[in-house]
Amino acid sequence: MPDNEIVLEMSNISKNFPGVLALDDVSINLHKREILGLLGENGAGKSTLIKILSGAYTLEQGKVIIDGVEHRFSSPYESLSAGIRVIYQELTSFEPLTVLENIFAGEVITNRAGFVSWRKMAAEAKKILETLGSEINPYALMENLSVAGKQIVEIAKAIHGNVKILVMDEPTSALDEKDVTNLYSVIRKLRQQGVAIIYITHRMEEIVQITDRVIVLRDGKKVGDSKTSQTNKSNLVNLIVGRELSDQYPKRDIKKGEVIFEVKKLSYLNKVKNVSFNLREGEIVAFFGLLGAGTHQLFSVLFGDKRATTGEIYIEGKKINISSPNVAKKNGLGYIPIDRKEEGIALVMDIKQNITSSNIEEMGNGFVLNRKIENEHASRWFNALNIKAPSVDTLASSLSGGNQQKVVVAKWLEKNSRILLMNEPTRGIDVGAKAEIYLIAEDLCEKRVGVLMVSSELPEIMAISDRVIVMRDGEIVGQFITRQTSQEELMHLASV
Amino acid sequence: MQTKIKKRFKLTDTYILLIILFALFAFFSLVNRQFIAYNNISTMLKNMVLTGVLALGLTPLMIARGLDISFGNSISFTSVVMAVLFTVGGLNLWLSLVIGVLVATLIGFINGLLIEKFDLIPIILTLGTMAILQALALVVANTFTQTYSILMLTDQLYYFSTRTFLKIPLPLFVLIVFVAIFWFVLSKTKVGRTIYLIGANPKVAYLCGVKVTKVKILLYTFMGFIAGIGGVLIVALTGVGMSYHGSKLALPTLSAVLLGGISLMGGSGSVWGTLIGILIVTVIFNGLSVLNVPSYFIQLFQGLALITIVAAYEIRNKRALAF
Repeated sequence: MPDNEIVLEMSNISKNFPGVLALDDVSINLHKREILGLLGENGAGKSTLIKILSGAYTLEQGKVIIDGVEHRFSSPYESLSAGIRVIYQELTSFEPLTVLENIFAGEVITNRAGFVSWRKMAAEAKKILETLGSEINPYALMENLSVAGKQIVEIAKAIHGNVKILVMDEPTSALDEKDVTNLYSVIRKLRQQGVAIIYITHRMEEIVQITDRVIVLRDGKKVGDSKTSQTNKSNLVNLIVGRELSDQYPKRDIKKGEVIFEVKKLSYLNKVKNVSFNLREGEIVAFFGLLGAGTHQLFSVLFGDKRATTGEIYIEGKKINISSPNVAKKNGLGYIPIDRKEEGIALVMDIKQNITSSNIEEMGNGFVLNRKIENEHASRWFNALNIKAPSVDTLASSLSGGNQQKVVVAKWLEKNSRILLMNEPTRGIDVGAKAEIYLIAEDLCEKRVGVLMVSSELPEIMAISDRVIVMRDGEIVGQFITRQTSQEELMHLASV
Repeated sequence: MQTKIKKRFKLTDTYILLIILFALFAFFSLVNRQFIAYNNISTMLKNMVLTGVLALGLTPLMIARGLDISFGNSISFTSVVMAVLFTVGGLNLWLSLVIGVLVATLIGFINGLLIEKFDLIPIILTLGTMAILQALALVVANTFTQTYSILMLTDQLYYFSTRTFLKIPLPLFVLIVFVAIFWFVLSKTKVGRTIYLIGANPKVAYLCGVKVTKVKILLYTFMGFIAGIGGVLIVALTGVGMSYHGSKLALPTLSAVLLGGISLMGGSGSVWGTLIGILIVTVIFNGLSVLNVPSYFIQLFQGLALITIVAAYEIRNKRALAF
């Protein structure tokens, strides 16, 4: 169905971030009336590519050609003017405003006197919504719409005016089946109107159903580009996953001890449903799930940042009501949050202050803070974890992501945590530091610590975990011994 | 490397403040000899005690990202309560003072409880308490005496406010003791470290097992206690409990604290910074009044000074980030 005419050509795009080559000589093109699927794991380079297209990042190497004209966007505004629209996964609507105001955010239709003409805008909004097959009232408040409704409004906002290329980032991640079908028909309608669409998703099923062509990125490189009809799901999964980290980081054979942590029928609102599992000393259990699977919420609940709705948690056989992080800490839990800069590390404090922050009460007798003891404790972890900085007095904000993460880990080593919860422990850190974090995790296991980990990177899970638990829609849908499963099987189960 | 740069920055800040202080002092001394007369210096230091103690109370609270602007009116209210208890009620002096301080402490606790439990914006909540306390001060004073100012003259308070030791006015010792206590707690104890950690990032602190809500309510309560001490000081220095005693204290006190390097974003500041801030603010306002500048100009200057201070720090911080 796509035309032969090429609307977008991105050729030889490279993008460097400190320590990471996010895009490595990637070339893609997009035809008029084409739906192009863009596939890849987290960190594969999809977002970077889209951000270059949308003008959020400046182009450093390569060319962007739209309708035969070369562009070099230096702001999102220029990209918008060139007819590019991006609908992000986290919808960016203005909740307390009306549908109408959302559609026309940043621009207004005026009457002859120069005043805002709500009547004209409402008529226009209604027309756009109708072309999308929707009957949403333009005067409804955004916050009262369903997620699907909001999505339609976002699309309406994106397509009114001159749109050539529409990028949709995981548009179905929060939709149920009926809404997805609806969305598909909207997308097909847009295609008929001559729009070219880039469709980003994790789910194979969607690729097969909606796209004409599919491009796979992995580690910043393009590893696959073919017509959807000429490929199949397992082929795509192989392309996405590719590398085997387990060859580089052979897992040590560590003897497992007693069960130290057990969760029974834990629920949290409707985000985590009836979850039960256990963890042994010296064991690494990984949780895998796509966005919205509930893995992050589960960890927040386990550490007491959020309160479980129902369910029981046992630590070393004793039932514990984890009502706050303070209780969690006192019972031997440590937590490495997903959002390092907001939740893991105090950027304006130095390394030693961060390392001892979980253990201030042990820094000397009585209420006086003994700086000598603090220095000794911090220096010990500073050296043991090989944190690269001039000294323990270095400010946390001047460290690289990997070294910051080591400081966060050190904080819980300092507290002598017996159970470590690691939420995406290697997110946004370079390959070298990743390997070091894996080594630390294994060293901990030898000291009979138990590690729970959430990761969206399958190679990582395969490389360092003993067991893996797959979650989908808040529920556990599979438990495996890591050696007896494959990345393909896990991805399949998580994304059905 | 990085640490050295940071340390140099910090020192520069303190040095700049000290230079400003000495420059101002030199300026006023040259313009008017009266300024450095023993009598003026002694009055100036005595006047500094009240703002000084209050600024110290605000220091840990603001480092932990809290804020209280109701302390001035809390002082008015407690001064009235103490004077009514003593003069109208005929209660024992010390008991009157203790009850006054307890009332102020309770007000601080309520501020903290409401702000932390309901996650309210501190400046707005304490703006509300401010109005309520002002009204209460007037109501109490009016009910018992049909005026807004009640005499509270005692030998002990008079002695305290007029005598000196080694030529130093006695009230100044109160400030010295508080400086020592605050310095010790903030820079030498575990509690002090916890306060800085909360200010640096409350979420990180919470996930480190710090009971953030509890600590902050305690800090608000303590600020209330400090306001109570302020009430005692003002009654001692003036000999009256008055419904408008504290209504103009918020501005100079906050100016002093902000000038001393405490940020509304929390996490930064120190007792030394606050102390220099207090000295600068005191020297400016005393200097201007020695020069017979009319009081409305002084007020104009207060407003300008506060805006200049906040703007200067903001510009400096943006520059620092640019590197």
